[in-house]
Amino acid sequence: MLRPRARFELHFVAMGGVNGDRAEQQAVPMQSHVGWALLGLIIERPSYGYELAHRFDRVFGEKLSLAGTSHAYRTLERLKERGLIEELPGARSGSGRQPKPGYRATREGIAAHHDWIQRQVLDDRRRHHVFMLELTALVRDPDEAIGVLAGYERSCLSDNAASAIPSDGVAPHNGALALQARLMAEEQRLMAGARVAWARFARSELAAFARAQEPERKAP
Amino acid sequence: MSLLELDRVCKRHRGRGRDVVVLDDGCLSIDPGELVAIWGLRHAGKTSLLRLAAGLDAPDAGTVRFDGRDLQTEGERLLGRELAYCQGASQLPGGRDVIDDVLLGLLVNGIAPAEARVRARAALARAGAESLATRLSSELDGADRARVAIAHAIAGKPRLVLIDEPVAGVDLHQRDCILLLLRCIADAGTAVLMTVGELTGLTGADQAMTIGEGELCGSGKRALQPVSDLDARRRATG
Repeated sequence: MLRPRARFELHFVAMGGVNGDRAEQQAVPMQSHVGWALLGLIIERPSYGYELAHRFDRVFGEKLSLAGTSHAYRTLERLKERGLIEELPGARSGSGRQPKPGYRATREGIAAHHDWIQRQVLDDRRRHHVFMLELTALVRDPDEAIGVLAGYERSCLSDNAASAIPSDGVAPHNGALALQARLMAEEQRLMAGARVAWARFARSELAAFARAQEPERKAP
Repeated sequence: MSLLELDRVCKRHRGRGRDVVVLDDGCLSIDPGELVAIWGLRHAGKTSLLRLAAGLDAPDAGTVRFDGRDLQTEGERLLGRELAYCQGASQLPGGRDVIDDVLLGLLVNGIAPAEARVRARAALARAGAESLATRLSSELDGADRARVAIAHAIAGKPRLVLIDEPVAGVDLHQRDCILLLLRCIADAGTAVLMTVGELTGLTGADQAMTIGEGELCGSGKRALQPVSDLDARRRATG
């Protein structure tokens, strides 16, 4: 098991190679969500391009889409250039047929993928932090800020209500896809719920702040 | 006309030398077949709201109507028949068999014993609690108590079930089963108004709302507008 720090370092090593273009890539972490998603699928189960493209559609549906099968092939090439995946030994052997290389994740690819997942969580936090900073800019007009928060709370409530109640209990019966759906649904519920609670808290704090400011505002 | 309408309802409680505002101009409207879930912190006024909706408490101002009838004057007649109020799993009595508890509720409301027994069995079956009929309520775990509480509520075939914190004390793994059961009851036409202490309880509701500091905030526009405004709009749009 790699320590988080070691994994983080590995991630940047994994971004490039020893020369030329790969050295440049090393400095720029991969931003493509499709690339990371494809890497995740290869980590889940090594496979070849055509099958991966189909699995991609099945797993990600409308949430993330490929521009076509060739998009998958191009992305696989880039993942290979970055050293995140490698061809399975012997995948190109055989005669009379077009080569059909299979891919598996490298050790670096697995570590980089773990880091990517962790960064997604941090990005969410960062976005929420920015929202809060923007909100405090409205603090001179607490009623306005409370209004913004009320809208935010309603939209979180809608999100919460719109999600379906899982009918499967906790144990998934239909394999990885069911587990995936279950985990996503639970994460969405918990996050939407936490946001509702936070919005309520923030409105209450702002209202108290406004009340405390009232005598100052009324003073000549 | 909605099944239940709270129109500009105000309610205050006198507590420790100061007034606590439970609801300030609160509006809520529930149609048949709707599941409405209300979340709030402890002492936010969730139970008080349910008691107002059940006609057990009178509002200081505003009106609470059930099927167009003012609950302040007709509540006593409606409660236990068209309206079922259930205090939640934690409030179940514990000294009798589950089936006897459900039966008792029906007998008190004037249902003949033979009919009451059939209804009690059917309600327990619908709530997934048939196998618990001969158990003592005090022996049940959280999820089973919730099922029995729901069976109590639906045994009288009400048009609206008001249930206080049905998933409180329910194991995480069973929580969704209870929520799903309430969703099914609503889908079959019986409106459900429930309070929840944890936010995951809002999942799958037709209206998800919060209550706190006298304010009712909702996911649907209907919850945010005075009922009278809604009526005016409905009339205007035919």
